[in-house]
Amino acid sequence: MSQALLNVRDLKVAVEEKTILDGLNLTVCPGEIHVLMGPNGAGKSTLAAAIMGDPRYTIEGGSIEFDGEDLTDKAADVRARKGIFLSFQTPQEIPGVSLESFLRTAQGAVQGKQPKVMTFRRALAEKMELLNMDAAYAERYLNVGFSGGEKKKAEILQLLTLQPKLAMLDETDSGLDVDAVKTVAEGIKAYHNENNALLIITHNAKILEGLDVNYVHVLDDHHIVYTGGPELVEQITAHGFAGILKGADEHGG
Amino acid sequence: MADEVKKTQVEDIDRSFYDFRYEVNASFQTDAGLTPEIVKQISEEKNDPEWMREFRLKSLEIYNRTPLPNWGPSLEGLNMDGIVTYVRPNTEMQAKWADVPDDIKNTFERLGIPEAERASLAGVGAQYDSEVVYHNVKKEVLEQGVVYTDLESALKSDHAERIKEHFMHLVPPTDHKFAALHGAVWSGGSYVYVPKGVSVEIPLQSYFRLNAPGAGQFEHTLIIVEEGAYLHFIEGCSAPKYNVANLHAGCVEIYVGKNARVRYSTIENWSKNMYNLNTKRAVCEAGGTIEWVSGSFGSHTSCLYPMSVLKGEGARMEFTGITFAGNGQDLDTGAQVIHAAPNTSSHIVTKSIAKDGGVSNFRSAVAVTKDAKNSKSAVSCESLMLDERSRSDTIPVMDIACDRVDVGHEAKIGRISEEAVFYLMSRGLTEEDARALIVGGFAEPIAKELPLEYAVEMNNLIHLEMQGSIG
Amino acid sequence: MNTTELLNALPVTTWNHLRVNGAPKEANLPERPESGWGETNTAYELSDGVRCTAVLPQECTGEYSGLGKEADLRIHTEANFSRFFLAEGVSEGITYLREKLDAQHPNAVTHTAIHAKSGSKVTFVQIIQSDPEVEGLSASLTQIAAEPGADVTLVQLQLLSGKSKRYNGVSVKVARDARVKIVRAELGGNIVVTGARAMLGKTAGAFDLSAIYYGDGDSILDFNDVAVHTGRDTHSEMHTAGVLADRCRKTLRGTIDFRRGAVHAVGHESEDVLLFSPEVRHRAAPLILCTEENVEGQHAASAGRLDENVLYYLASRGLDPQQAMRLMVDARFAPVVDQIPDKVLRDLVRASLERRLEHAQILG
Repeated sequence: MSQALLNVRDLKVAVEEKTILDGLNLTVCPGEIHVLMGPNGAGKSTLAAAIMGDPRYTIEGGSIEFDGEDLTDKAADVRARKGIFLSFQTPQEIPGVSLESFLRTAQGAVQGKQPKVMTFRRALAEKMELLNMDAAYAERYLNVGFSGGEKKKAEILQLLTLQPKLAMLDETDSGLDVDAVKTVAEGIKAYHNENNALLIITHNAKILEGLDVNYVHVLDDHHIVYTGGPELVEQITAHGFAGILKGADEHGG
Repeated sequence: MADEVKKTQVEDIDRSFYDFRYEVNASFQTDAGLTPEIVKQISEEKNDPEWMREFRLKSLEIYNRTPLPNWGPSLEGLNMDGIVTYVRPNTEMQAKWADVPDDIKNTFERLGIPEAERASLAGVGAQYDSEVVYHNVKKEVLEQGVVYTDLESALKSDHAERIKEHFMHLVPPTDHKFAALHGAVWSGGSYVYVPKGVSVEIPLQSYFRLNAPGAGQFEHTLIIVEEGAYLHFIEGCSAPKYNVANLHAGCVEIYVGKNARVRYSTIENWSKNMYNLNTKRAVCEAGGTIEWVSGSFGSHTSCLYPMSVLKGEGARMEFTGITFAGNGQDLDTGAQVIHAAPNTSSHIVTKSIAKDGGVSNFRSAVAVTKDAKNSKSAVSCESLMLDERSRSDTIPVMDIACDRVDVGHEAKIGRISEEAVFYLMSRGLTEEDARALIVGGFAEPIAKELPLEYAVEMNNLIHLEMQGSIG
Repeated sequence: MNTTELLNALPVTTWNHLRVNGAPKEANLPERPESGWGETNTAYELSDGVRCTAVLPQECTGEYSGLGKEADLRIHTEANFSRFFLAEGVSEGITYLREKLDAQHPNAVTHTAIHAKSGSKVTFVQIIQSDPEVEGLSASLTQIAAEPGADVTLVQLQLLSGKSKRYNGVSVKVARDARVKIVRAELGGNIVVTGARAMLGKTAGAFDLSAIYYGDGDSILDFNDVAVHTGRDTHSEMHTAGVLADRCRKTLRGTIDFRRGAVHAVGHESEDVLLFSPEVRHRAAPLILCTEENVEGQHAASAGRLDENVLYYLASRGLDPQQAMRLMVDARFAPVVDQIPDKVLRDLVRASLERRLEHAQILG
């Protein structure tokens, strides 16, 4: 087994003094795809936000190690430059800043040097085509007036541009029609290779089609209560969490 | 020194009564005040025509009886009693590059402006450089019959009569105290004449011509654009201009002919000791268009509200402005428009940013007269507060005397969303860069109205201003 | 007693020539006649939970109304009718305060204070009317203090004759989690000077102002509404709809003032004016003052004639211009009129508007 990319140990996270996660452990290695499922409000998005370094979430205990470095106290931009990426459920709208110039700035920040304009443009156009995005979106202000689907595609476009080591996708498929889900799945497939890893939060098996999922975790009661293989997705889709959670209880968590 | 202090005190007491019954006291002048003799002397040195000499003296009378405005930013730091020192550049006022404050020098360096040019930007020396540039521009536009020269020379040319018919007709000396002061002591500036139907394709830039020592204080810009013609005039530059004296009371008058169009762009970045009390005004004949693009970054105190008089049917105005006030700055800016004919339209879009205890106010006046049937006006202003020590007031007024109008106004105030900062940081930007990017985006609607090199420099300025704004 | 202060002074002044820095001189509060203001024709009905007190509650004082300190002081000292109320507990009923100007009682200078105790809920309705030919004066100062969690609604219905003068100052103090709501209809009078000013000094206090006005003839209407936010999470909503006809001159100042400490405060303000005549004068000065970073403030104003497309559409459905106009004015005023908590009063207001509209001319 290769060295772990992400190592979350005994994590305790609170929002406005309310504990959301407690005693959570998770290890992700390069090349792996992890799926995170669980009932609404269990704290799936909280985990992703805590790993990304969202200042609204207070880490009250435990540690987040990434690529051999302790990032528990680091700001979001440091984590991004280390190779962590989060696809947001509701991406922010930034008026006045075009998608293209934003992506170029971000790529420059993450890679430490500003990409050449022409090379960047060509690469961007290819990725946008892959995602069925109208080329005109490059000139539009970041997420401003984008439909829900376009916003999600713009998130995947950022994923493809920034090439992080760990990509966390927080319900990237929610609110998308069937075709858009397929396109997004294509984008994820194009991104994934043996050197990077994915942590996908989803309720929808569709987005996982064609991906070799290694682990499925069920998050409930502040931590991961059950971990299984890809077959778990189907089980949950068919029977809901109740059966799994009951099983988990029987196993003693 | 002790004597001087005493004198100031006495005059201060005097002046508090002045504002109420100035007329009575108008004939009394202290030694420190502006006298007819001084104005006559200025006039003589400039070799003014007789009418101009009289005009200056009449303006002086108006100046002496007009009180300071009772609204707007405080002008307490302005030594009105020693006004002569602003008017009469003497040897002590000859600035040296070495005297230019460090923060301005640093800005030049960060903007990558070469040493030779820095000196000229600072308002000293290198005048011959400016002349060369000026002549080049002149040669290109001359071929179209355009006149672009300094106002003093124009007064002695065959345009003399035209100047007499237009000079301070739009901004009369009675307008306010500083307009009167300007009328009395104006010096330097530009005269532009664009004949009927001529479209000046390259923007004319006044900035190089402001460099002569002392010339930037009371310069007068007179622009006459005849029927169907087009002109883009750019005033100033994004590099800060340093002036030893700290009062700028310039005046800009623009006459837009029938179906003509004038765009007037300014990026003002005076050094931060400056009281910028500039008056700008345009009048549009039928079908004429005036477009203002205005950026205010510098100055200690600014009162700047370009006015557009839409005199002819179907005349239009557009105003796009941004004001960024930092520590110690009180920038009171905005726009005024008078709809005086049917089917006229105005559109005002502004952005205000305040940080580090700075004051960035938006002030506007939209007036629609009885005759302006079917006129439209839309005002939109947005303020961004970067911390809780700063101030941003929005003070718009509408005065409508006609029912067949469509007048709208919207204002918004807010801050940088922390969620947006986190989002950008999650993509690898530092907090500082994230904030600068958001502010840059906020300013983008103004930037895109500017010629590219100015837009780039404005963006640089925003980044400079945003540096060290965290923590 | 001579006032030197401008009535309805704009909180931050601007160009004098625009004449919005204060109410015009001709709208000044009249001097008290040597014989005094005389008797008033006033009455009130108390709802449960509300009682009268003999002395002005301290809690209600200390802040001034939109009219200004000097005008407040004059009304306070010259009042020929004063009434102070104390509200406790939740009351579903309405306390009515009626005043009528008639030949025997042409002047009502009234001072009202409402002290709403912690957790109380109370509704007051002021009805100001006059006989048609009376040239009277209604000058009122209403001081409201809402203690923590209190919920106060004040409805002001002014239906004076076109010959009377009206001065209406309201000062509001809102404590933690309290809410004060004013529903205001200024539908009569030849000089109307009105100013409500709310101090939102404590966490999560809220101030709502829903106002309508109708100005016609040669009347002068002058408004000065201010919400001052100094407490965290405070909220103000000030929305006005108006109609101007004939040669009416109207000025509306609406100010949201966010001061340091008003973290997460929200303020919205709007004015929507219908212009019915080419001789009206409509002035508006909607200010947002801000010295706090973490706020959301918004203002919107619009003015114009009735949309001709809408008129045409209504005509195509069989409505004549007069009917169409009435319908559109009703639609505009309905959000405010509907908030009047008494059907009889709603009908009274509608009838008054109807009468006014009958006189209004539609100029094609």
